[in-house]
Amino acid sequence: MEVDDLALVEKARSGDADAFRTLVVRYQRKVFAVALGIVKDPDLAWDVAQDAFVRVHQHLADFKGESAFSTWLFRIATHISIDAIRKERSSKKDDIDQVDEAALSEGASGILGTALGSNPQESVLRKELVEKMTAALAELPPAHRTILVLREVEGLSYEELSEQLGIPKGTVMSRLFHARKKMQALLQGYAGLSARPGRSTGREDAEP
Amino acid sequence: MTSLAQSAVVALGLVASAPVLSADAGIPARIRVLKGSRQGPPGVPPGLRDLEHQLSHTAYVRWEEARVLETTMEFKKPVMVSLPDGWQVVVTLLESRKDTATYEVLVPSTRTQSRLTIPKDKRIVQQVTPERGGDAYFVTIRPWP
Amino acid sequence: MKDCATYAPMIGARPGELTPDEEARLHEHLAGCDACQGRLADLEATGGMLVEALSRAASRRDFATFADEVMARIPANAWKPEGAPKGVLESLKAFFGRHRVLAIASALAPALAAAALYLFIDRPGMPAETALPGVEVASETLEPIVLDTSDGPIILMSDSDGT
Repeated sequence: MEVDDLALVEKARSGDADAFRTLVVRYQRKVFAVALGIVKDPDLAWDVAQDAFVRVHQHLADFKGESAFSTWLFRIATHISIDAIRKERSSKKDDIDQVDEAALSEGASGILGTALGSNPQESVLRKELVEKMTAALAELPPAHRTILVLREVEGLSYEELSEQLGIPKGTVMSRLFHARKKMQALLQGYAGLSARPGRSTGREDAEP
Repeated sequence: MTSLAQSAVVALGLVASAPVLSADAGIPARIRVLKGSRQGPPGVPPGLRDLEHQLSHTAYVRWEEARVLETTMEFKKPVMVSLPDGWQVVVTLLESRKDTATYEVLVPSTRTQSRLTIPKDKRIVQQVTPERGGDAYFVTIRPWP
Repeated sequence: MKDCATYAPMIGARPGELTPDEEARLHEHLAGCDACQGRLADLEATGGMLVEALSRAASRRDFATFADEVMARIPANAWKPEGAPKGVLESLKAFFGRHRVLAIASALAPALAAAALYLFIDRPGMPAETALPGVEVASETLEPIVLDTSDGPIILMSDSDGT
């Protein structure tokens, strides 16, 4: 796929519209998915995704092939997505990067893991939670949404995240920790699971 | 159709309708693509003299006739008009009353739609490209030329 | 455990992202920490769900017009003539079928398109603000200006920078 992309980029660069269109169709859904994760609103994500391709086209001459085309495309899409939500402010004041006692004391301790069972892929609960996932993502502050999307959808490494977000590796890790903790807590809430011992809500009691 | 107009039709690669057999089948029209420039010696070529007064109201002083199409347009059948820059404009005859004809003009490169009703003795001139380097392209439609 | 503050964020690292020393210490910590084992279990159980959720959302959406719209936003002079978009009529019709673009039959929707500015010239007696019947123009990218002359209207399209 990657070699194929480069061939299309070359053709597009020299004025072949169908080659560029092929690239658009190839990546449109994934770019939309990345944008959706960061900007939340589907219509905005649609526009952002289109903007990304238009901007890619404008800068085709600059693409040197040092990275994969898709990497470059997603990087542009991410920038545009982050710009689009720049005005969004987190309503909570909690520090998004600090890992301290308070951060450690709450949150999941294997509850979801237990509830999803030994074969999580098959579980009905998993299907339900996937449906709720986009809503849960939307409830996270922008910085957490962004880092989760970059990590899990784009698959960026700690090093790439550090470079793209302009934060040290340690902060990357602690921000991911916070983001996942929040996400897990939201999913627990959706699943009707409680973190506190002794409260059974009818589902598997997570406490031994 | 003159042979010049015929070769223009062929050169444009248009989806143009066949000559009309009955009066209800369509309306003859002359569609022209014009280029207006802010620079250059002011003037209007002989082929555009009929538009001279109209065009004088714009800021473009020098005019060229880039394409001419004479065709009978059938109702609801789109006609694609190629512009010199490669884009196409889609003109469709929608309806006609006694002495007026209504056209739809689509300009995808600027995401523009228009619905234009033209009386028999008038002409519509519509800009179809944004101005670049002081130049812009226009399309003009005249029913029953 | 105070150590959790150090090791909990390491959970979820991929091969090569931790130094060998960090990996060794993480394993050691996990061996003795139920809370962190629980965090690891949760992470493994929910892994991939985010991708799945967003991919589902992307699959549900109709992308039929997406590429056409992208192509329509790229200036035509970017393409060589022989490399120009094909199937123009089909893609145009798909493009203009989108409900977000003004439907021809309905009134101008100010939120979607710049309403045409009507200027009357050469027509004595017509008030400036009256829209000319029979001329409706809407554009998502440019501002239409209609000059009505005695020979007929001229529709100019203005860029937002005023040209």
